[in-house]
Amino acid sequence: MDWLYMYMPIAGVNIFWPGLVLIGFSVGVIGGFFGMGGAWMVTPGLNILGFPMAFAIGTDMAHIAGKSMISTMRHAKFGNVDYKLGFIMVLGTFIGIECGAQLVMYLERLGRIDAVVRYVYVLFLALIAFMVFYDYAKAVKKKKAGAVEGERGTEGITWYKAFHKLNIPPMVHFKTAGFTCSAWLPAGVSFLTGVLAGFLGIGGGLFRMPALVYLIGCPTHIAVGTDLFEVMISGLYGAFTFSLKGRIELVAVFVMLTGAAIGAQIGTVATKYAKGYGIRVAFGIAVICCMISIILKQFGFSNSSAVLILTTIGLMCVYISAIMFKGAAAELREKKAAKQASHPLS
Amino acid sequence: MRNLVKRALGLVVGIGLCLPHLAWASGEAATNLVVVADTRRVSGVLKYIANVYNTDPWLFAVWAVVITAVWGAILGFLMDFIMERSGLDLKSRKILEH
Repeated sequence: MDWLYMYMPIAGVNIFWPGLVLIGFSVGVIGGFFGMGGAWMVTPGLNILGFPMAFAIGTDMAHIAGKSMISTMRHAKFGNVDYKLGFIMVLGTFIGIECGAQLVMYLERLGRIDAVVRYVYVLFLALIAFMVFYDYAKAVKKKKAGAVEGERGTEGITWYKAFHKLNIPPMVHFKTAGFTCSAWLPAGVSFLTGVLAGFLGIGGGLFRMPALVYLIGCPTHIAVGTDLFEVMISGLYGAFTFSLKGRIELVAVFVMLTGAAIGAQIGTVATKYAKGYGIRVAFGIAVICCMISIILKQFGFSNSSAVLILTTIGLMCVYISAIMFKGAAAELREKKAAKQASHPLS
Repeated sequence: MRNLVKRALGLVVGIGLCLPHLAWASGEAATNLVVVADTRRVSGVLKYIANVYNTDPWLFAVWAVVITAVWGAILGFLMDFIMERSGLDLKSRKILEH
């Protein structure tokens, strides 16, 4: 079975390459649906496959850049990308990522990078999961009480309304996202999420997607598309800075991208048939599973961790693919019926 | 619920602030890790990439970004070409939060 293993000349390890294709495909599906690189699954996944943690982070960065490019192209056609918002966030993200990457190198010198990265991962995953479910519970409670707010319907967490009141020039109107706020709000949020992205070796979508929804006030679908645009740029910059530091395995990036190209189409098109809160809740469940798997790994249960993360990725892929294929089949049926109604004799 | 949120945030910030100190206290300072690509077991393009990695980090970084972007764009256009033929409307969608 030697042909199933590929030698990675830079990392110096033999890797099970179908595992790389599968990770690429799955993360393509999940990332395209949730609007992020999906690196929070790739980094532990690569680590489980045998890459040292620093290499897993760098390789991850390059992979998510390419994958997000594919997903962004699709989301842009749906009109889910607010480019003005994306460009404003780019600068903060760049500075933030560099700060985070420097922190990684510093911790690597201390010899404690694996443990610290895992602790920070767990901490923020817990915070995000809590926020998502708190938001959902609040929205459901409000809906049951009959509260309807504005054109978006019932919402749980509406912190963004307070942030929109900040009147610090320049005030900018974001046409696609449909709101006006101080340019410092997205710039500041992107800096903070950028630091975390560089440190954890992810595109930042894990933090930026909920931040776009809860702090900046984007509708979920626009947050997904705009975030992927952001992840694409920050991922390319991350790939550059990690390559310069010598912590990237290009061969693995190529193999993973091939799988991701197909997965990204499924995940992105599925957003067309999903409701905003459906995306948010599925996102929260995936985050909790990821968090538990990292805790298991930290306490030496590597096999259980691998099983959990692979099961989560698998189930999420099945769920998202089901949404996409079900929705696509219904749309094609409707089109066929409409065509037959307009041309009954044909 | 508001108190619970405040407590959770306090805990998160507290643990976050402790992490660098824990890392500092638990590890001794080490030198920068130098990784050298093994060029003996690869050939062709892979050998070139491994050589560039060993000799010129800047050129390697530029290649990494260019190759990733170009490969991503090629796959994106290819998948776009295929998806356009599926018969689905890939240019509009409804935004529904609930």
